[in-house]
Amino acid sequence: MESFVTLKDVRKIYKMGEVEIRAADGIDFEIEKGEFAVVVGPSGAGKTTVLNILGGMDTATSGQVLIDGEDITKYKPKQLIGYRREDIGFVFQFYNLIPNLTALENVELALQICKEPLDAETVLREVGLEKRMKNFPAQLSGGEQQRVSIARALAKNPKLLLCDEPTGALDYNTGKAILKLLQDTCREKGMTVILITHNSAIAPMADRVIHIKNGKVSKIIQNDHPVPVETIEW
Amino acid sequence: MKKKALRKEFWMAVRKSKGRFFSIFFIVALGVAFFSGIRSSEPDMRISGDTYYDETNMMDLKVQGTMGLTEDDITALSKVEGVERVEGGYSVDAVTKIGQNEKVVHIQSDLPTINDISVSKGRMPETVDEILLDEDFMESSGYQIGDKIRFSSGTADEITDSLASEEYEIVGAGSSSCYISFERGSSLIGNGEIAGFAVVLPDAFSMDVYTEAYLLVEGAREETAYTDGYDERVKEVKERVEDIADARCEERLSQIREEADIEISDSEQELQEAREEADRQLAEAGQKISDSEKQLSDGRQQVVDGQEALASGKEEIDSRKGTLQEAKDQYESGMRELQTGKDELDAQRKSFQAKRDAAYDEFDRQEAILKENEEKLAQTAELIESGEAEIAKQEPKLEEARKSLEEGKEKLNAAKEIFLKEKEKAEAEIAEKEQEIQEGQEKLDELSRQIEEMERQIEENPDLSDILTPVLEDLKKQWKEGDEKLQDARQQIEEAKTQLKEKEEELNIQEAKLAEMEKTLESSERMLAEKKEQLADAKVQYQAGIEKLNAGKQALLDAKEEAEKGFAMGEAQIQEAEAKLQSAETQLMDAENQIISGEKLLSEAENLLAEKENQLSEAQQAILSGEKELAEGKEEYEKQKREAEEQFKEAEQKIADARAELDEIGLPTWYVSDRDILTEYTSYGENADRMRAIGEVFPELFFLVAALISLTTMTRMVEEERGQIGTLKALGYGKKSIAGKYLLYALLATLGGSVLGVLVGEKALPYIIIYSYRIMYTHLPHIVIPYQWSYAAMATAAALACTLLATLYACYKALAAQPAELMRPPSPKEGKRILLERIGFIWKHLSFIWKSTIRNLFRYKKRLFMTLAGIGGCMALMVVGFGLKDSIMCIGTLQYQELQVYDGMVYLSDTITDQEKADTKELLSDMKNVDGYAEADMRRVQVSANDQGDAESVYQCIVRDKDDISRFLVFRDRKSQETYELTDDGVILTEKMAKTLDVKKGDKIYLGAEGEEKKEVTVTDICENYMEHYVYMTENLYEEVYGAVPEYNTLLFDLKDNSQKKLDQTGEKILKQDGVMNVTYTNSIEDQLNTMLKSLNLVIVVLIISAGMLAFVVLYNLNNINITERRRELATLKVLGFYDNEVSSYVYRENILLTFLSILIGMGLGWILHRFVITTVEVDVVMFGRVINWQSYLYSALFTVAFSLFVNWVMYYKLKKIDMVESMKSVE
Repeated sequence: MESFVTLKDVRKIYKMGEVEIRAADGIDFEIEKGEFAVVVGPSGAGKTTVLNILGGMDTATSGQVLIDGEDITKYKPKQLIGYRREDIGFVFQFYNLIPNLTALENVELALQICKEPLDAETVLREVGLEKRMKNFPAQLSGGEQQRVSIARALAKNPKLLLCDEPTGALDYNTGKAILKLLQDTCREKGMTVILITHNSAIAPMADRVIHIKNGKVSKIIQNDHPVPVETIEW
Repeated sequence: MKKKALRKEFWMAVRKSKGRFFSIFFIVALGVAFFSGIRSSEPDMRISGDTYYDETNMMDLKVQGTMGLTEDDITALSKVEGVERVEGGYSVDAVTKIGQNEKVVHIQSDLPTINDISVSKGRMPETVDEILLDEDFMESSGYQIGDKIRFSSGTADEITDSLASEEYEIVGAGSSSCYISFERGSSLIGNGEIAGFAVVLPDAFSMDVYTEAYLLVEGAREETAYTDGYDERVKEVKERVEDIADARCEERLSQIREEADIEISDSEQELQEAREEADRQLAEAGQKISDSEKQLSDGRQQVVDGQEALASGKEEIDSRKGTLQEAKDQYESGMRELQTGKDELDAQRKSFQAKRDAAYDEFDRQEAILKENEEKLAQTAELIESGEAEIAKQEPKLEEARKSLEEGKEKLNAAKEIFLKEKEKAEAEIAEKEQEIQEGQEKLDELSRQIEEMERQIEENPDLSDILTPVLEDLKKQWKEGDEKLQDARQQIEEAKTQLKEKEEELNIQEAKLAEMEKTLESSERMLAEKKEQLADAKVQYQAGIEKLNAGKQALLDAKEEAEKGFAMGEAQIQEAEAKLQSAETQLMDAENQIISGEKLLSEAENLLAEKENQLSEAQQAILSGEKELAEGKEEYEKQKREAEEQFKEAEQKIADARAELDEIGLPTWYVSDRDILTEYTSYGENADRMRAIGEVFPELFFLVAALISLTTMTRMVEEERGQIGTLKALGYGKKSIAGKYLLYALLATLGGSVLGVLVGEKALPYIIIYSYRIMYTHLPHIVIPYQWSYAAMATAAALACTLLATLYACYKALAAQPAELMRPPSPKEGKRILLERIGFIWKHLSFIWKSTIRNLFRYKKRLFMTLAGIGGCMALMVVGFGLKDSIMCIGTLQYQELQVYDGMVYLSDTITDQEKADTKELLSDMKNVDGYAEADMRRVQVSANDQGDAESVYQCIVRDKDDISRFLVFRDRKSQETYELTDDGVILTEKMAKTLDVKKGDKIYLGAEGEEKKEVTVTDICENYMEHYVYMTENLYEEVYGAVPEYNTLLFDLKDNSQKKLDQTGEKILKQDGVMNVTYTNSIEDQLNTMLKSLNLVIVVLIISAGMLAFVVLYNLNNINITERRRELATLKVLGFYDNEVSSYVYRENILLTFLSILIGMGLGWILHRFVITTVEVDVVMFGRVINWQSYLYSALFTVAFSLFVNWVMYYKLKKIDMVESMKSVE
């Protein structure tokens, strides 16, 4: 079976005058549909570059990125926007909610541009925010804001959920709760989730762990028995 | 240099944020330029004026005495403390005629050093009969240098009472600092309006005392005109001059009295002498009258005699004329007959000529035919001859041929005979030979049988062969020989036969030849015979032709002879007729000569008679006129006598009056006035004040916006660098060093902007403003625009205060916080529910996107108010700019097309007689193009709100027909447009004056000519009016109030066709009327007004452009801030998959909403501001319109929208450039 996400020899090279910076230097990996994948690596290893390329925010210098069989490296800018619009749900480290929209409205904002969105209230209820829908971001805690952010991503009904250090700005317990939410979403809805973190302690909960170092994949671990989040500690 | 790093960071910050730095720089520059520029315009206007005044030594004080000023007065004035210089001068108002119009000219004497004239063309007058004219007047009147100009006094007095002569030569044109614009003041003569001034030498005046004295005040020159310093300095001296006035006046009075006494006694003396002289003259006249009477009666007798002689002469001539006429008739009938005779003869001659010509032509034709026939015959004869010759030649030849033929035949026959003989012989020989051959053959055949026999024997007996063989051989040999001989014989026969045959053939050929020859000969003979026959025929014909020809010739000759005979006869007849006519003509000629001489004689006689008659009628005429003269002379004599008596009586009365008057004469007065009596001097000062009024409103608003912009920008900067501030603080830098950076940043931008603003603004704006005022004040030569450091300092200080305080305020919050707090992202602005959300039914109907937009607007309140204030302010400025234009430009139309709807005005002279007035009115009602006219009395009077208060000047207009006047003048309320009727209850006052006096409907006002008692009237209505002030009243009211009948001095008229051409035509006709002083046209006043008001256009354009620039800077800056602040939010939207235009519209929606809100606010604000500005910039005699046209709102709004669109367009690219990676960054 063809993998759902495939990166083949993806390179991203920035030219700063004379100097070439190889942010991604031939990355290869595959992720199956419905998997919970974690991309781990130290700062500057190229995690974010991978994420940007996967999220359609940046284009690879060379190589192939196949999402559900489509090679997005060949997309034109406008197609890339469409890709972001329809296929990708993005969870930011700093939630990036629109401050003067309520939780519900923030979700609706994303739905406005989608073709087959889910119901905003339902999704919010699913992430456990049924009582806080009318609140503005500033009235929510960090974890709650991240839940809104996840709800916003999920409501678009994307093919792929990309999470950029979703627990980075959260405390331990909240972070765990968020990870649980993501894992549950993956398990229950069969959503493909790619989580990017520098925290390798999270790795055991993933189906697949991709280690990146110096712009290359150093190893890929297939985890046949991922552990529940609750059991992980860091 | 201990904080080198910090300093470096500062410069980097400036360089990195050029946009921000320059936005502060330019907004401050704009604000400062506008503030200091407009503010400086006021002092600059004054300085520009003052420079000119000082340059021309313009007077500070003017003293006028009601009885003039003497040399003693001048000396006394010069001794007053504080007076720098005094010069006495003369002046008089005189009337001159320009075409049909009378114009008033103020003639003044040239002062040595005060009120210098700026000569623009030609030179100053140098002799007493030279004059320099006002250059404006020169232009309007069309006079040229070198022209002569004539003056009259315009009153009953002679002009020579005040001027040495009536006529002057124009030697130059110039302007005076006393008259810097179009106004020249008013006069008591003419139409009351001085059209121009003129300068002559003092000696050109014939007055013995000065009319006025001009003073320069010590130290006044150093002060700037229109300032308090100047006013105080002059006022001080003015008071001192007024102090000596009384003493000087008394002195003057006693002097006058003395002079008068002497004059009166002189007069009495003169009267006595005159009386004696008159008596003597009357006596002489009586004598003359009786002489004349006698002469007249002699003359009458002579005339009667002459008339009789004349009558007889006339009869004689008439009878002579009768005879002459008969002779003439006869002559004429003879003449007619002669003519018919001549005509007939001519006709005959002509027909005869024609006939003869035809006959001759016929003869010629006949002759030609004959000649032709003859020629033809001659040709035939020739042919015959040549034919005969030919035949003759042929005949011998034929003969010869026949002969030779005959010979040939004979020869042939002979030859035949010989041949036949020979033949017979030859045939016999042949037969013989053949016999021989036959025999030979038989022998041969026998031989051959022997041979054959032998051969058979040989064969049967070969043995015998030997023996027989020789025999055989021999036999054979014999046979051979016989055969050969036979052969030869045969051949000989053959040959002979052949010879025979040849000979026969030869004969045959010859025979044939001969036969042929015979044939040809025969044909030749036949041809010859034919020819001969032909020839014979031709000869016969020819003979006949010749006979015919000869007969024709003969006939022609006969005919000619006969014709010629006929012609000769005709000619003789014609000649005879001619001779007859000739003699008839000669007779007639004689008759004519006789008639002519008769006529001549007769006309001579008639001439003589006419002459006589003339003489006679002249004589009669002379007698008649003599009689008339005599009668007149008698009457005149009586009249003179009476008049003389009367005059003497009058003179006596006068002397008595003079004595009485002298006793009554009052103390003269002095009027001491300063420059305020010069209307234009004052109005220029008022304009400067008005500029200050503008300067107090506009720049403030401008500045406010600029300050707000700086505040937002600096606040934004501090907020952006929050983290850095925290870091610096954490590192231990003091508050001062940290805040210093931002203060320095603001200081640098502000100072830079201020310097640029002052440098440009204080030069450019005053220049433009004074320049545009010079359209009105044409004679102001200088534009002096020094830097007004006080305003520069004020503007800079204000700008610095604004930006630095704003910076401090922005820093304050940041510096007060703990470093740790600073390094954390600021607690994000809370999203809040807004008021609108509580109004459920509106909120629910808004789309989601609009909800967010509206919440956004209220979230960034500072920005909201900034934008509203900024753009709204700019919009307001533009509305004011356009509105000013509307208000100013509308007044011409409103005043002259809606309120004063008449087309022209006729000013009547004060001295017009009733008859002349009636004639003028009749002319107006008779003219086809005049639709109607109304009578009015227009005079300047003083008006005040109470009987003591300050009086204002106003036109009092008394209307004769109050019901008809609505066709010419519309009284209405400006706001409600309700029209009023003029009633006998009270007056209608114009709006501006009502406001100046602060009177309302129903209030009382006080009216009266200057120096006269004021009368109280009630204001019944207040009407819309823009130019000048008027108080309208009815005739009845006037009579009631003043107790006198008004003297109507004006006719308002309305035309059916008011095109310029028709207007001029009508005006010209009216002007020709006696007693009409002047005609003015509403059209031309309107044009003039519009030209004048255009000077304000430039100021308005400056306003609009500046406002536009401001709007642009504000919009750009605010948008820039908006985008920078929301960079993260916008990046997130992009990550979520918003297209570029969706992201832009997310931002634009707010901008558009803000722009529209601002426009609405700007409209309101503009309306209020416009109101304020319009009332402050108004000139005294003018009221500007109060209405802003809707177009002005539209244009301002469009400009604002355009700026907004442009800025949004620029922003689109900024938005596009936002990097999505921003969304990943942590919150600063």
